[in-house]
Amino acid sequence: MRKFKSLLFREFFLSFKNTHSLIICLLFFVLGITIFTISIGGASITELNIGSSIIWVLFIFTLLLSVEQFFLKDHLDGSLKELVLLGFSSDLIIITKTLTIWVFLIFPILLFFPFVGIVLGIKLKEIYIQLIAIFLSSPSLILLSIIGTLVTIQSNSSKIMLTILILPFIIPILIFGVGAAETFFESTKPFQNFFILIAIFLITLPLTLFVGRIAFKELNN
Amino acid sequence: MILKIDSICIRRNKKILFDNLSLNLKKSQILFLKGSNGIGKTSLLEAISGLLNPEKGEIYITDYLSRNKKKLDKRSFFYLGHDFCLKDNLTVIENLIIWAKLCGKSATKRNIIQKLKYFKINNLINIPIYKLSQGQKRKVSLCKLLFDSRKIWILDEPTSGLDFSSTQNFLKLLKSHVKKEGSVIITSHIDLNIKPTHTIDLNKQKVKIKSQLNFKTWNHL
Repeated sequence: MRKFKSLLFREFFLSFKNTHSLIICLLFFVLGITIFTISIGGASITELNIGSSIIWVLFIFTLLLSVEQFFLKDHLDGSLKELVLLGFSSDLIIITKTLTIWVFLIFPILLFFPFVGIVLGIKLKEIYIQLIAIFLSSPSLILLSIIGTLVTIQSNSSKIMLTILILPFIIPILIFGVGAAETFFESTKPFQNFFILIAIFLITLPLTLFVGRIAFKELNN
Repeated sequence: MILKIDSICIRRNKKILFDNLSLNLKKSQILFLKGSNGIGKTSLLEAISGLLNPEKGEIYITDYLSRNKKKLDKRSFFYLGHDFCLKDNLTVIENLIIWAKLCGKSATKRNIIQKLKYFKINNLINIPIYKLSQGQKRKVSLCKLLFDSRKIWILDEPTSGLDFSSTQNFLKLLKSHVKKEGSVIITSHIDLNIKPTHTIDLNKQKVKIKSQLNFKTWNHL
């Protein structure tokens, strides 16, 4: 527990000191939605009911582009190696980073979500459901992005490679996440998508920890 | 406590760096690794510290009495690599506080300033790392040795970038560690003017062992 606390303190402190780059990520999210609104037109978005889908796409891209910064600097300045030598397991590092990413990136997006949703003409009750869907799917999305980041760092590949690598695995989350509101209001099993999102997380967590162990070993080699 | 390296073979990038290397390192002994660039000095240090798995052979710790093999624990060593493991956007004191927390040590501001005085960098406590020169960064990372109580120090080019007086201070620190029954494994490109008990010349694949460390040779410090 002491190890977890000290590592969490480190991650929170570093993220707190690095808020400017996190603000840039949030600006990317907001600007992306603005560009969509301008290019498609506010009325068309409401008419076609694609507001949630736009938010989900921007949310996923913001996450994919931001997760790397939580690992890359640590890898380049040798801190990742130092953490391993200080006895921190790859599992603990991944879990702590996931928590940090959630607090410093996902939580602000969730705060922005209602305002952005209203701008895009999403109904209030649908906004609540989408908030829960994003809340439940975000840990899986972070973990999948971490897998991609560890693989691309190790092979010196670009962020485009990361996106290509991870997107196929993100599609199921996207399908059940975007469809959460529709299922909730129209299906006989309203919580079905939520349970599926939780199940995806329960599969993604051990998978990420397993891949993480291999990736950390390779990074040190 | 004896660190035993038993017939190890290390392969990196499909190339065997060395084969059948055996060595015992007891307390108050120094192992000096020499060899040209890319010969495998860092790989050997990483194998000893547990970051790199040898292809064959084993590295373990035994004690004098029981002679029981003890699994190599990364936390038994202090490893100081090429990288400074310092966060550029944090100040000197913030970096050391975080590092101390990760090691489970409580380091107060006064305590850290006291340690920084050893390398005469106590005036830099509130300067961000990115504003420091390479030599100053090296001194900050060497200051970690002053907090450390582990018996085995593994140091990869610790004096690179250091001026003459700082190198002398570092050698004094090394001397006091060895006098306190600590062991040191060190690589350096320059002649450090120490007489190690063991020398491994990786160019010649040759191990030279002297039984006792002669402190008289260090009297100039």
